[in-house]
Amino acid sequence: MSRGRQYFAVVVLFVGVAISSALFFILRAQEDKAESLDFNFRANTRISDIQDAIEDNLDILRALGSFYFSSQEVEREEFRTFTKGFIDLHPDIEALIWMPRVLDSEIKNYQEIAAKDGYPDFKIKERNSSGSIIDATSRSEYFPVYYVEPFEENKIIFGVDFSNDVAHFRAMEKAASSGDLSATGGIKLIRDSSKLGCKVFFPVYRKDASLVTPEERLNNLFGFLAILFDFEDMLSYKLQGRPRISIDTYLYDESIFGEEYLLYYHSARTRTVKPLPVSENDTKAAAGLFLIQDLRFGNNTWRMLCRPAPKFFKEHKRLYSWSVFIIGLILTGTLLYNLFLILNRAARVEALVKERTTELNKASLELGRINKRLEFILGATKTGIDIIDSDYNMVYIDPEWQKVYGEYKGRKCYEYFMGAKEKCASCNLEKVFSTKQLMVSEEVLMKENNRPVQVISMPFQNEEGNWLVAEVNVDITERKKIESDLKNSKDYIELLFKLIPSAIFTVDTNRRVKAWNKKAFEITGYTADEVVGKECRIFAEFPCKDKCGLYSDDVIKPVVAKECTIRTKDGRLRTIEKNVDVLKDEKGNVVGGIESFEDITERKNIEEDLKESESKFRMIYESSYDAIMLLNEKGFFDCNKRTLELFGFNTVEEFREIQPSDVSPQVQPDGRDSYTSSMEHIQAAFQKGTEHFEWMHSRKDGTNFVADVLLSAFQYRGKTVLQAVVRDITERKKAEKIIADASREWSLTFDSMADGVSIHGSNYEILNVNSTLCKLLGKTKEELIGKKCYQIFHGKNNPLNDCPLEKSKTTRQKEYAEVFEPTLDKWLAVSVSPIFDENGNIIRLVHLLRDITERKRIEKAKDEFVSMVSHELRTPLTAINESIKIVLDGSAGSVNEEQKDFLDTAKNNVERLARLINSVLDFQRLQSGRVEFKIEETDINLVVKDVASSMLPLVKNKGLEFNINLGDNIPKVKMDRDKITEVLTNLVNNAIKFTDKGSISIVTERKHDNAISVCVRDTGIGIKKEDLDKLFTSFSQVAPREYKKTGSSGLGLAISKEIILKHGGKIWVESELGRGSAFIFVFPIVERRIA
Amino acid sequence: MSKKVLVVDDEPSVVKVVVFRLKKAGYEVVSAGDGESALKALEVNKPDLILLDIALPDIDGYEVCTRIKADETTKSIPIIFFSASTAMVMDKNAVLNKYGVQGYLSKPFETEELLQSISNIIG
Repeated sequence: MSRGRQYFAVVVLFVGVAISSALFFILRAQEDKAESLDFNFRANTRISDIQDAIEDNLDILRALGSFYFSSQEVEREEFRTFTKGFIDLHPDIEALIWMPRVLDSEIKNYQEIAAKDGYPDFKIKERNSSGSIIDATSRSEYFPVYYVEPFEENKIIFGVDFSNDVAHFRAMEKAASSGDLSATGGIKLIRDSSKLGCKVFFPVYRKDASLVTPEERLNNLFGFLAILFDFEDMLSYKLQGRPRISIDTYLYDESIFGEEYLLYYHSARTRTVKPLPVSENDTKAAAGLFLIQDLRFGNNTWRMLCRPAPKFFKEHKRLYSWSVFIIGLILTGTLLYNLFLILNRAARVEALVKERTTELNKASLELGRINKRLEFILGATKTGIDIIDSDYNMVYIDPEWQKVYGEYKGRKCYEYFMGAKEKCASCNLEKVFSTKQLMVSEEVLMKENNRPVQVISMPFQNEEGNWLVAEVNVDITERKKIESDLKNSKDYIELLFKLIPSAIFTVDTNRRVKAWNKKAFEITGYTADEVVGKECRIFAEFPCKDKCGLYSDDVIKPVVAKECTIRTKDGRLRTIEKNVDVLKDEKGNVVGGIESFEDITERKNIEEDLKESESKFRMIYESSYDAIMLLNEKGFFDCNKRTLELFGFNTVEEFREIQPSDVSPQVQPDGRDSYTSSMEHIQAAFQKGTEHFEWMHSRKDGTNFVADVLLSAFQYRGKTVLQAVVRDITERKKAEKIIADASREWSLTFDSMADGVSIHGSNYEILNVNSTLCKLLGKTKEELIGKKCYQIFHGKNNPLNDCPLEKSKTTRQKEYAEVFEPTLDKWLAVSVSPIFDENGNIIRLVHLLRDITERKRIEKAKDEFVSMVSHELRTPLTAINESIKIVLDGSAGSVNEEQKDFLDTAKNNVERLARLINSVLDFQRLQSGRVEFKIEETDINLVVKDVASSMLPLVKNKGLEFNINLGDNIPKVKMDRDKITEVLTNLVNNAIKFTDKGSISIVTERKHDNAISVCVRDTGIGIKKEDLDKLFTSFSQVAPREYKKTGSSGLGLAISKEIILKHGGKIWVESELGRGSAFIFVFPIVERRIA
Repeated sequence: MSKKVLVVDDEPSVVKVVVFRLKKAGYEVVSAGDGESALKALEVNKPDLILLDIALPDIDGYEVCTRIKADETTKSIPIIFFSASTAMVMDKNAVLNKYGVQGYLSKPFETEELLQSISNIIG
């Protein structure tokens, strides 16, 4: 076949394929573009659906959070009502949960409230390691599921405290310390463990607490709100009615490390959960089309990943590009077929030639191989070589071995080497002869002290065509030894691993734990089963990597004695000291790391305590207010700063080696010589251990002061020395004198008081009495002190309820009562005042008794006198009054005008007398408390209006202006409407009487939120300053002579004052002579609390 | 026939003006100066109404009233208490109920009040 034609065929093929391919790739690129656009559109729709669904539910949680923020104490029913709206609107919500922070001491309280809510069986529970729900183990605080809605579907988790689960704990802690949302990773749902869900926590804090730092937030945590997602339910609800779009969807929690990072997988094809690589680079490498979107909230970042499902590609068949490509290939093929028909014949001849050449080459190759074998055998003779025939006869052995094993000819190999009578069981010679293949085995040469050898058995043919086997015996003693050593050292390491008192673990390059010893379990609480295969950060306090030799490549290894903090399985923080090194394989590649650590928390604590107590001691010594000095038989040898100040020395050196008598006057106040006396005290201290006494000291400048001295003996560097603590008690002495004087003064005052005084403890015990009380009761102090007051005063065994002392204990105020004591035949005024300590607790009650028998007698006599006089006056008045009227109205015959005028005068004066008597009686009844008040809630403005309208004619009559100004927002207050009307009428009457021109006004207003005031103001003659005080006293009339008109009893203001006082109010006057007066009274507003 | 009123009071001047007023108003009036004579007067002559002072020198008005009400023959006669004492003002209704009397008049009285309260009861 000609070369030119071959090339032609190749060129045809090339051009044909090239044109087809070019067309194919152009069309293909367009199809790819369309496909990618469609994918992005579908994936974006899916991602925004998911995002909406998640955001909707997170918004509900936030709304619930605001609800809690605005009304912290939320009751179960309120919670149910509030959440019902959301749950009705979003049937995909798995659960909305309230988990309060419950201290161990509060459990009972929460159980009682739950029982009231209809859940008498409420108990705090938790999940154990196998996932079943058990009663919670005791701890200081719990976060039980206390409210959960919808309740029926979720009642299995009612009462469960999830915080012992790592995933929950981590999320709750983050939420609490950051104050923001935080999610667990993917967790299996309790009610259906085949489903993946996720809890998102929202922290609720105590109201008005400061929340600036994470510590403050943790301390003021009130509880958590949580929403439970079941992504599958949520999304299938959300995606209802959406067309099927053949897209696989993944949802990861990027902020979680570990197995919980996958939250949700939705496959358009298989519906099986199949996690994919998380990192963006991995995803790019693994797939063609994909779309990633991150959703960030609170402490979490969730990554949504969409990828096309196979079905997606089926929907985008690339028929056009493929068909063009195939047609192109068919055309090219047809062209080539015709070409090959032409070229075929020449090719066959060429093939035959090639076959022959190959056979020849093969034969020469076989020859070369045999030569090589022989070379190998000869080269290997140093290690021991022998040749054996198919009957196990020794044919050859090298001379070195012959020296050991002797003559070989005519001997069988098994007998020659092993001393055996039959062929060895392990022998593979037979196999070598039958297969004609080279074999390698290991043998032990028993005659040579069990020397191990590797035997290479090679079959070959000698010149006669008989098959023989050459055995090459390589000594492997060294290798065996190494192997055995290796095995031993592995065992040794495993043993060490178990026995070493430190915690040890190893990790692979992904920092996943491979081995974990018992001590590691003891320190961290994690068993090997729990950590092997997991990342080591499971127990490390985050972030651990800064200090960890296992983590950072930058850290120089080995890391030695590094201090770190870890968190144990039950959540406690421990300080550890660790050593870290990398593990390398035999080639020096890093394959992992090893870490050993010890719990040094206790040691650290002790070290710190020690340091602290040392510095504390130093501080106490130096900053002590007391002078402290050390002395031995030679004198002082050390002292603190205060000593120098006290005695007026500048340096410790100056103070050294002087004697106590050097800082004392010659003689002590008791007349004894200071030196002798001080030596006696020192001697006594050495003997008894301590000595306490008062001492007159002198300063360097010669002034003296009284001191309290305490000597104590102790061992110092093997010798007994004394510590002297000296306190300047000059001030104390002065104070003692002042107290003693005051106490004498007080007891004299106490006993000379006119009232009988007793001082009581809050337990009714009489602690002190004065002599007046003793006289009053006819008992001695000894008979009274120590007794209970109710025994003494009432002869009872229990306190009386209405006793002023009992009242004062509850009102915490001074209480007063007037009582008649039949045993003494006396009226007594009792006044009790409480005395408080600095915390506001009542510690004492001062009880005063005043003999008011005489006053009572006079009061009674006065009352009787006034009633009697009034009565006796009214009877004749009746006759006079009626007689005048009979004459006046003409019943007893006609009277002339002049007579009538005089009779009128008589009648007016009789009426005035009657009013006066009535006023006196009224006033007297008010004072003696015999008037009943009809107290009702009344609008003061209405009272003012009534009075104003009834007084209006009188005011107008006198030509005065009348202004009524009623305040807004005046609440009703309790009063006797008739009595207040009387007061107002009286005040307006007075105003009219003393005002000749100008105006009268009545103003009501609210004062300071707790009182209402009524003011009656006039522009009349005013009142002199010196008369203001007399105004409200009985029978006082301060008006100028010309205003003393008929009908005034002088009791109006006195009665008004009594009425206002009886209402708990106040009345007073403000006036300027010649300008006018204002009479003002106020009432307290009694708080009406909303129940 | 005119109605008859018995006025009981120990103060002659009061009796005098009251009797004058009642006669003027058309009533037949008898009077007694103390409790005993009032009760005696009742045996002889039954009035249609009794105006009874409380502070009487022998037996007080309350006692007189109690006796009248205890006697079957006199218990239906309406009584008005008549007093200068203010003690009764406090609990007027309680006293009226207690003694089964129809009215109370305090001294000094208004003429209209006196006549009105009597005519209200017996016309």
